[in-house]
Amino acid sequence: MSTLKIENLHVSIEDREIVKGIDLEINTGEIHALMGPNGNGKSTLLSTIMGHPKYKVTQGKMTLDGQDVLSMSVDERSRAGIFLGMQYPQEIPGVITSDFLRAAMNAHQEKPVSLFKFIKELDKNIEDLKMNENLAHRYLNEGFSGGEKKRNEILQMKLLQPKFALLDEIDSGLDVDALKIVAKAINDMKSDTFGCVMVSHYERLFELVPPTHVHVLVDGKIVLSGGRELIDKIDQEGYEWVKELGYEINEGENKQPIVLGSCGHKVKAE
Amino acid sequence: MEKLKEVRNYLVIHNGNIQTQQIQDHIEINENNIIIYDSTQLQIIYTSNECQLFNVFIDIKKNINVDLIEIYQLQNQSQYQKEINIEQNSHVTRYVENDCLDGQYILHDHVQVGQDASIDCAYVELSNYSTKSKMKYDLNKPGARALVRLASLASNEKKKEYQISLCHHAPNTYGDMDNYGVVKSHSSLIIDGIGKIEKGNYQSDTHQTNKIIVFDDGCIAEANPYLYIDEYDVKASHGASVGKIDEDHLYYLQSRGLTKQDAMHLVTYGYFLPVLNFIHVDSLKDRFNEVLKEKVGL
Repeated sequence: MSTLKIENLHVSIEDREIVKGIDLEINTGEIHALMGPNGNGKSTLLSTIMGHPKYKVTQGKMTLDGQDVLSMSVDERSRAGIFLGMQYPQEIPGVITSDFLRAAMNAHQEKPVSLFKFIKELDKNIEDLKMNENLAHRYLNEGFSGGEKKRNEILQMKLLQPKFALLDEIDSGLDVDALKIVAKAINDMKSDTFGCVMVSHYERLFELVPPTHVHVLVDGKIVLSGGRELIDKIDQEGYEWVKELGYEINEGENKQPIVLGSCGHKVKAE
Repeated sequence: MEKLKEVRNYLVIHNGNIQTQQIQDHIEINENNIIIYDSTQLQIIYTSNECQLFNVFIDIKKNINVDLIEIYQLQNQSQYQKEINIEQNSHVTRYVENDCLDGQYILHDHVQVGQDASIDCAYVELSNYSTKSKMKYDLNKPGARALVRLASLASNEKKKEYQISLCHHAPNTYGDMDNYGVVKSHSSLIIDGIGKIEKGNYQSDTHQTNKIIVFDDGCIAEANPYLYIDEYDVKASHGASVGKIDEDHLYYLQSRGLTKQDAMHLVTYGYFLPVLNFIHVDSLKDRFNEVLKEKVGL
């Protein structure tokens, strides 16, 4: 069994604290659902676990089977077994999807995967995910629909077989049939050597992939942890009831209004 | 480099003189003049070990299709000056690869394109040497067309400079160039793209894109587009960018386990790969792919 352990994690972006002391322990074999209103730190938490350079960890610890994750580079975290299925996967013109997938698989293995084995594995997973087989020959995510991008994230998860998959709104952009396919792929990965954290706003994903643990993240903190009953409550009542527990909900980024100055230049309002 | 198996005609030009020739069809050789009078493929290897200027002339007669594959394997400070003349209604696909061994190499490439004739040319400049090259395409008659693609990798403190010109001397001519470069490890890469349309050459198009990716600090990179237009009824565009690889792209690739170095190499490989569109010979495609992988470190 592997364990990803987060202790008292604080994360800032440009001196603004987003994550304000999170403790979370995930073991392989577990599926954790992370819910919360927009702009309260869910994606920041997942991106920080992956090591996005934009997010600065100001306090706290993160370990994977006792190994310090915070001192690892992004690629080292991936090779250690962490995978982030991104909310907005990057489009990278010039990089052919199949070249990238093979390079990623090779990065996770001591010996390079043979071309024959790679094609066999790729074809099988593309078929399982009911993806257009031409996607593998196109530039990475370029011109992919929202659903195709999300399936491409799941394809990568299946090829790389991580210990822990962090799936950030993997259900957004998916139609009902595609959601079932993606849910099946996640369920197929379930084992004693695989753990998962899923961020979603919708009960539907959690019906298809039932979580073992549910957490509510508000204003940079996990304010409540429990089981599936929390999902039902949020689905019926939203998050207003969280305020009754004494927590403030961050209503989203406080964006400053933009006004037009002379010659149409944008200037920030005082 | 040995003869590519599908190519029917093969020449080795050493110090400006034809040293080896395996000519099967449609080519006449008169001293250093190479005359191609019917559709065919020709592979030329240029070698030298003398610091001198060498001249070569290639004349492509009208109404034919020609694949021209040119590989430079030079030593010392050799300088090649080349004239290529493409007559009416002929089409040339050209692949020019530098596989130089050491020193600095200078190429002056002058291509003249006749009426309704066209050329697609890729310059593959991945070797570890310095160069100062000029490539000039004269679009001399109506319907003349030139498509040029440069793929240049400057590394290991080398200096590479290119001046690539598309000169429109007639109405209804078309020129387009995409000059792509990567510069790393204290090297210098300067690309000047020049589009020139003289007065009276209406309904002509001249376009250019110049892009350089800078891998690390301590490099010099310049992408300079120039347009000299003296006619109203034309289409012209230029674009130039010099910068590092997009940080979000790197993060995405690294999040799948690729080291920063591997991620940069993968991006570079993809950046140069469209040269394949300029190659019709299968064994050359394979060779280019291998050379590219080796040079970018995949």
